[in-house]
Amino acid sequence: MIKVDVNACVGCGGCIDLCPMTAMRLVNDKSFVDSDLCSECGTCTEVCPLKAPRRLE
Amino acid sequence: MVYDVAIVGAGPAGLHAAKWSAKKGLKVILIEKRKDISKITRYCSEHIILDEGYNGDTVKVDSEKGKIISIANGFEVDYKGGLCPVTDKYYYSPSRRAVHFAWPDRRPFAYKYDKGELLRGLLEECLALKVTFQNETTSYDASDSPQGVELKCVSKGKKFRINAKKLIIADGCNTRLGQAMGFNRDRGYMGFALCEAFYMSGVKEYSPSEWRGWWGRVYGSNLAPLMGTGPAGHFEEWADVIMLGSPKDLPEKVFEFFTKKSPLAYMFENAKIEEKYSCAVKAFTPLKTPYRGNVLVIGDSAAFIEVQAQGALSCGFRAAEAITRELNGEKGFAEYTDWWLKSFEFHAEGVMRVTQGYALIPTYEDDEVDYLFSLCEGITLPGTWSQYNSPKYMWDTILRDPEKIKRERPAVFEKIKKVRSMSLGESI
Repeated sequence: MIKVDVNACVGCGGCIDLCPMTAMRLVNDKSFVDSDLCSECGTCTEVCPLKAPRRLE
Repeated sequence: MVYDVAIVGAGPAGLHAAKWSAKKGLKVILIEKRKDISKITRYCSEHIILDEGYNGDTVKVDSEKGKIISIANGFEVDYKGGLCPVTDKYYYSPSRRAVHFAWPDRRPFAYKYDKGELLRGLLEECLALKVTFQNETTSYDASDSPQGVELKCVSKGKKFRINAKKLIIADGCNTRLGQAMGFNRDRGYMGFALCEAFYMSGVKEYSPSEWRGWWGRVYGSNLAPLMGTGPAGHFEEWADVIMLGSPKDLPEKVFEFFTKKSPLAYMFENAKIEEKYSCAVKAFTPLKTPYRGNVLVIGDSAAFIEVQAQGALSCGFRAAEAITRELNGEKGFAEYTDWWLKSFEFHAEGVMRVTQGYALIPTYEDDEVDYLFSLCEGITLPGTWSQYNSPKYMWDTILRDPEKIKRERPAVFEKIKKVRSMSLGESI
């Protein structure tokens, strides 16, 4: 699954714009992955300038 | 409930479209992914640009009355937040030869302002005009028919639909909705850029009225690290240190090198990161026909990267007029398009190619950049913010005596010829 490291995320929203599944939103000004909607495609992990979304095995 | 117009994105374009649509008596819903729009989280340089005729307009700032005034488009926006004049811009080479932009009378060519404050003010006006503000909501697709538009939305994991007669897409340069509705199909894709900005205290040689960029391998990036005015409330103490990069060349790594290993590391010896911002930008060539059916695409969503806040305000203002005319059976979208194509400089033939002028690294070796910049020394170029005029003035100056370059540095001369024959995509 993919989770956002909230200490790294600054909440720019790039991943929210680019997530093909609309699985991301801002919660308390940080990106949040809704695991019900996430397809684990990894787009967010690629587009983030800070590498805040991380794939957890 | 069927709204007269649904507007997606509460940035300067969407908010201004909402305000003026409501003022014309339309029933408006404004949809925004964030909760509090006055809290800026995505990086933005936040400048009001004073270049005359910039993107078809000239903008004045009346700080006493607290107004931003558009001369050509004919509107005023209340703004009572901070303003810091920017009077000088310097581009530096590896040995710190400088290209200098400024006006002889020292008048500013831009103001750093507080975008959160501007947006907060506009939202208050929208709410007073009974605009429905649907925040914490992403609009990810829509279907359009002669009867109107049905928008697909998601808020906190719940999906639902919103119906409106007309739709304005103002969701920014990564336009999710424009992409989903096929507006990007005929646009050229120019690449993906990442930006990270650091508001830093304790930076040596920081001056709030200067904008600086450094070109050279010695600074650790193909794209120039930049430094400008800090945020409102901290104009004097905090510098804005801006790193550009890509997924392969992360801005964070460039920052590490620039502040610790480059010849400018001494400036950051006692500096501290106070705040950090970022953005991820998909760059497309501009949309030439920004409408279809009941849908109009405005602001950054239709632009080559950005229209800046003032351009976005103009787009919103004109879009409200266009929507009103369309609802009356007139050709509002076609009129908007005429204005859009005529006003924004990125539409002009050949103008986009001028931005090749920024692609100095890795084409030129560091000593070659020193040589090129030395040809601009002792000359003050006009004070401009424009991303097109800046490289144009610089290269016009460098190339004022091409025979001299051919004689002194034939290899550099050949490189210039080669770069100038490349497409914009190839050079960047």
